[in-house]
Amino acid sequence: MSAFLAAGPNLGRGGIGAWLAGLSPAGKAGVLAIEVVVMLVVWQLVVGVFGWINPVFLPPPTAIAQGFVELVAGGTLWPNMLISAQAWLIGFAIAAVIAIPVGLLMGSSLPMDRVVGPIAWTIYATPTIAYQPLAKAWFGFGIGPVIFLVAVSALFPILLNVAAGMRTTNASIIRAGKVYGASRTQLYRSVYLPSTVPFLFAGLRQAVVLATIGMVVAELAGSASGMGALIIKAANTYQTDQAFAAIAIVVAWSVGMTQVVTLVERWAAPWTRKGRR
Amino acid sequence: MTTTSIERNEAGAPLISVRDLSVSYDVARTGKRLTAIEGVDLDVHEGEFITVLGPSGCGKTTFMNVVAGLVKPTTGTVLVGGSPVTGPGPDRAVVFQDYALLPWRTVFDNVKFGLEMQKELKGAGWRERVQEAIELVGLAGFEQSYPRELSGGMQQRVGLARAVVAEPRILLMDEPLGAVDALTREVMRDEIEKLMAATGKTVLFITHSIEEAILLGDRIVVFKSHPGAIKEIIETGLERPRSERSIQHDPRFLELRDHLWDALQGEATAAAVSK
Amino acid sequence: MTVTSATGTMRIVRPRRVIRRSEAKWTWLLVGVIAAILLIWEAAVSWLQLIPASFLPPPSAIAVSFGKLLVDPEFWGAFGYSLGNVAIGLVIAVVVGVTVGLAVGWSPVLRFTVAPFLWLLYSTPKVALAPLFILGLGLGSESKIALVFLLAVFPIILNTMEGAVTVSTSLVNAGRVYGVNGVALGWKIIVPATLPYSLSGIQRGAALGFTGEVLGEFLGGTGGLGHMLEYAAYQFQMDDAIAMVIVMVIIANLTLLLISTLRRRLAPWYDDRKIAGAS
Ligand SMILES: Nc1ncnc2c1ncn2[C@@H]1O[C@H](COP(=O)(O)OP(=O)(O)OP(=O)(O)O)[C@@H](O)[C@H]1O
Ligand SMILES: [Mg+2]
Repeated sequence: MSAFLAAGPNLGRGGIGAWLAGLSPAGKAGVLAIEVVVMLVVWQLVVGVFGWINPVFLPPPTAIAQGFVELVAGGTLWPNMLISAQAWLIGFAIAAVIAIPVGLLMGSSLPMDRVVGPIAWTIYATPTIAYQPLAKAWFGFGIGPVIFLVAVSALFPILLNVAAGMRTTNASIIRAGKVYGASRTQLYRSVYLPSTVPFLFAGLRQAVVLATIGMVVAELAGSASGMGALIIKAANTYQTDQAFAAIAIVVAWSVGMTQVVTLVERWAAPWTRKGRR
Repeated sequence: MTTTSIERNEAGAPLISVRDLSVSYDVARTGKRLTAIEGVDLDVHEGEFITVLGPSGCGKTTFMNVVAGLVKPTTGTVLVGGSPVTGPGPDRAVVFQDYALLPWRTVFDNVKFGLEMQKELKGAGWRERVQEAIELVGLAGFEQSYPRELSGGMQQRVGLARAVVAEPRILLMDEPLGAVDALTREVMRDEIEKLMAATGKTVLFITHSIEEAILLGDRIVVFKSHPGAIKEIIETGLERPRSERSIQHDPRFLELRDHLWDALQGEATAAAVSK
Repeated sequence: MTVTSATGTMRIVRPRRVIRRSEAKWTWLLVGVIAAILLIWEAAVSWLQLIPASFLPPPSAIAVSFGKLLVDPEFWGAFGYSLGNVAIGLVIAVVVGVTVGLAVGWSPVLRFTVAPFLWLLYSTPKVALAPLFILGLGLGSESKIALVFLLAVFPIILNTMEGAVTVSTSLVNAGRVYGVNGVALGWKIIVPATLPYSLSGIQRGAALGFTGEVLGEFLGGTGGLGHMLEYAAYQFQMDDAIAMVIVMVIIANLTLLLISTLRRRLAPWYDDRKIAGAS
């Protein structure tokens, strides 16, 4: 949908490709910004001006902005946003508090790994939506099932990544630790744990995405409040502009939380220098 | 050609004494056992510089790992300072073939790693020692860099500094100059030579370069493969200090070089044929 | 075990089981632990009655429900309906995803212009769009298939793209050196080399597609496994509901197994571990 710059006969490796590759970071950002603007304008034209697509199903950007204003003015945005954020944060915290120690234990003890591992993999492979009706039956219609689904969604990526990080600690670094006289505890503290840190953050990033999906699913399928409930209410009353505005906020939340994890990683593990892309 | 016995004609008990050592690995994938080295005998005296030559995969690293205490002998004994090796110890430091630096530590923190593990950071002067070692390997100015910001050769030099600063009695070096460019290599060689002469450390030095083996070694241990074993041990008998230039035309150097060349070439072809 | 994936995060790859005698011991331990958990559960609910059975039914009751499901024609109808929708949506997603992924990975211009948006769409929780799909396409299969497609297509695109990028730099040069060109280049080098990447995208896409289908059924319509599960839970028939969840766990894990077997079969040279590690 944003292939405008690529249009024309110049699709090959030379020409525009070479020109783009040669741009400075600022230049690239500039081109991207222009792209975004062009895309928004075309979207507006196609839906809003020419009316080629029914705006009920895909409202134009201006309508979405207006929907946002309506949500704020109507006073429904803040309470729902707060409830969602609260459920998300609580669920995520529960997941991290359980997953990190268990993952470390799994990584350092073979019996733990062989018992918890297969069970965790089996649950992780199943989309968490399958557990949603159970959560609803057990925890009622409030924030409970949302917290539950967020926690279950975030738990396993963190757990399994931490365990994998411990297990795959580079053998030759362990050897170096032994040669230079590290005791068992020192070996854990200065070799195993630091080398697990990048895995932990990879797990957390993955968990952010999955937790957000879990939150939305739980709220869509049976919650009276939260962003998911807001989206459903707006859609059911054909106020798709408001629904899209709410979706945009959820997207911003997901991207923002991923960014937070990345920032914390940069600060806590500066040696990886990898960032998000 | 004078091929000496496993023991050098020198008084006193050897610092390292290896008798009838063999190591075999369990290869998990195939369930077979692979004999890496077999029947190795070697005595090394305090202050000696031993270079180890041999075709790739003949078990040089394995041998060094046994002396370091990282690999247990399958049969045979290894004594260091008269007592059997049961594991790694502060009397031995290793420069690893694959550097084995801690990616989350800066150059400075990597070099101080050995001191830290042995809780020697309390006394005064450790900073200077670390700094000195970093300067010795020519990495001044890179103290705060992370390993991934360094070239392979630079990382290898960090490994060297880390070993030197731990002040072991025995330095085990596994191709420590393998990834270093020719010029730096020459400089580092000279530095190692001087350092070892000055401190009188005992060194086991694995290399693939015949010239390097001659230039640095008091004795050269030549390994053969299939299974890995010592083929011969040669005393270089060259005057110290040596330098690349001074021995280039020394007839003894040329003689040794030709001899080693033939020995290794024979090994390499044998290895290729047996495949 | 992990691989760095197109998501920029690491996806964890289930460690490969090497069946050896020493492993059998662990299998027994696992079986023992699971048996112990089931036993304690059964004891706590049926014998000691610490937890009301209507809230958490004992394993024996769940097993009975599960057995009943397997002979229930209604269940098999729902099964066919749900998996049919997932299969159709997934096939479309694979065709579109692989094509787009190859194109974008291959062309630097497309990569620069389109890829950032694909990334954004990939990391967007697109499940939030589900109500709009129901609104636009109705309560029938169409909305569910569309939802499956939408959720499944992005991981496929991004993983294929990553594969194509990896390939394009090194392997293609090698191919050129040996005189492989044009269509042969695509067929002999690019497709086989990107295949394992695509397959791991498909693996992820299948799981997300399943989410889409079930969510679609939760939100509207009268058929499918998700609907049956939702109904059982709504009626507070917890034994039936948990049996349905077990069915879904089995389906999800079998799908995963199928795709990873496929990957091993089609690309045996590809080692998950080769691109492993976070260092
Ligand atoms: N951990 C291990 N498990 C199984 N086999 C091993 C292991 N380590 C080494 N080997 C095998 O033992 C033999 C000797 O390996 P070693 O690393 O000691 O050789 P090397 O002489 O140091 O080679 P290079 O000069 O290439 O470094 C090789 O055939 C190798 O495959
Ligand atoms: Mg070696």
